[in-house]
Amino acid sequence: MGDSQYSFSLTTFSPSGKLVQIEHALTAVGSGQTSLGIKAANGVVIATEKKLPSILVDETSVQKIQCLTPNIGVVYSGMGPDFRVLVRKSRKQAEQYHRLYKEPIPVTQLVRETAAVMQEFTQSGGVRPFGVSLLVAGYDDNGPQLYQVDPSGSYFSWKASAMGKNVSNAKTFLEKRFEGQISGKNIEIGIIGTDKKFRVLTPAEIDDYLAEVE
Amino acid sequence: MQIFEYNGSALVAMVGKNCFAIASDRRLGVQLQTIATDFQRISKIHDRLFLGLSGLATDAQTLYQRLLFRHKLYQLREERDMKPETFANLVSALLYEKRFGPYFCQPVIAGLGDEDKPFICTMDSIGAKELAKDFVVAGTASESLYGACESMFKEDMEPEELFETVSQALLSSVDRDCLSGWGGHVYVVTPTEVKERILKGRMD
Repeated sequence: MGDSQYSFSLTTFSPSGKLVQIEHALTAVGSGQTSLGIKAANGVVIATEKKLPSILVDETSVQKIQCLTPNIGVVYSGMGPDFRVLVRKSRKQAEQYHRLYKEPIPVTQLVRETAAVMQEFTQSGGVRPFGVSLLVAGYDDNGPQLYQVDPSGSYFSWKASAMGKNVSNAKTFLEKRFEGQISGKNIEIGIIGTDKKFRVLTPAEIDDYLAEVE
Repeated sequence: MQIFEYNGSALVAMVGKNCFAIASDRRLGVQLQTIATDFQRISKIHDRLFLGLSGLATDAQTLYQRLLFRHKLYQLREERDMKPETFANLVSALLYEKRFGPYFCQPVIAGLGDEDKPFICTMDSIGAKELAKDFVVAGTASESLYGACESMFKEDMEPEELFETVSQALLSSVDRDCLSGWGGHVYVVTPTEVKERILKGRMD
């Protein structure tokens, strides 16, 4: 197919108008662990699967949900190291905003700047796109917000979204209230409410909620 | 020759009840010679935020243009006006960027913040903010202005009384300063309207 001849170069369009490297990046995301987010009337919840390569891995050292500012958190599907780099850049951008205006950065502005970084890496020489999609959850003066950012740099606001493996199943996950196989040890949940402080639930708290569901 | 006294200026901002007033003189001079008697020292950033710049006139003009540019971009990106406190922080950051080759200006910022609360502040030429609850002054006539405002100021003045107070303080202070004067320019801003008035003082 004509497309495959263009798949070597990130910065060359294929005849069908696609940037094939970005498509591949989205595939990398699609085979990453599931993560999802839901926006409620008074807050946002994001969660992710935390399947580790072996039971010998110390699960407390793995943190897939991270804080970008006191009132904005993020989760990802895809490549963990790429996520770490993006978190670092986003935190710096949020702090730079705060240094200039002494105001916490609005969620839309941070998402826009992070997306701009991801887009840069699709139009520069010698770099590759990030292999992650992000779900950004925040609460600012415009209320609770949930954004998804893709490797191409496009971003969308969602009421609820899922990414990674089994996306369609994940979308029915919370509706069905999946029982039995999940516990505080193999899922991570981050939550932000009207107090505008993003925090990750402890395994004990997750177990409490799961017990309530039963 | 003192660079801050090259053009001459007088600026004052005062807080009233849910309103504020910002006033300046109108003289533009080149040392002892008067060049213009209708110089605008106070500019509007948006309907509820005014910026006055004293000091070297060329720096005042350039600084105003840069700040207006930043605010317009902010408005486009964030789809909202800047709060006065936020703007003051931006001015401070911009001035400090030029710490070792500064703008020779002293800004006075006055605006209505959240819930129509008046906000005033001034800063030195390298961005040291001075927040005040009652009044702030700047320019070659600043020492006289301090005295006049201190004695004439009352808390919670209504817009009309505030206008009278600011005008009297300004006119009496510039009369003691040879580098500022030739009338006054007063803006009184309430949540509903902006009243701009020109004062006629001693035309010297």
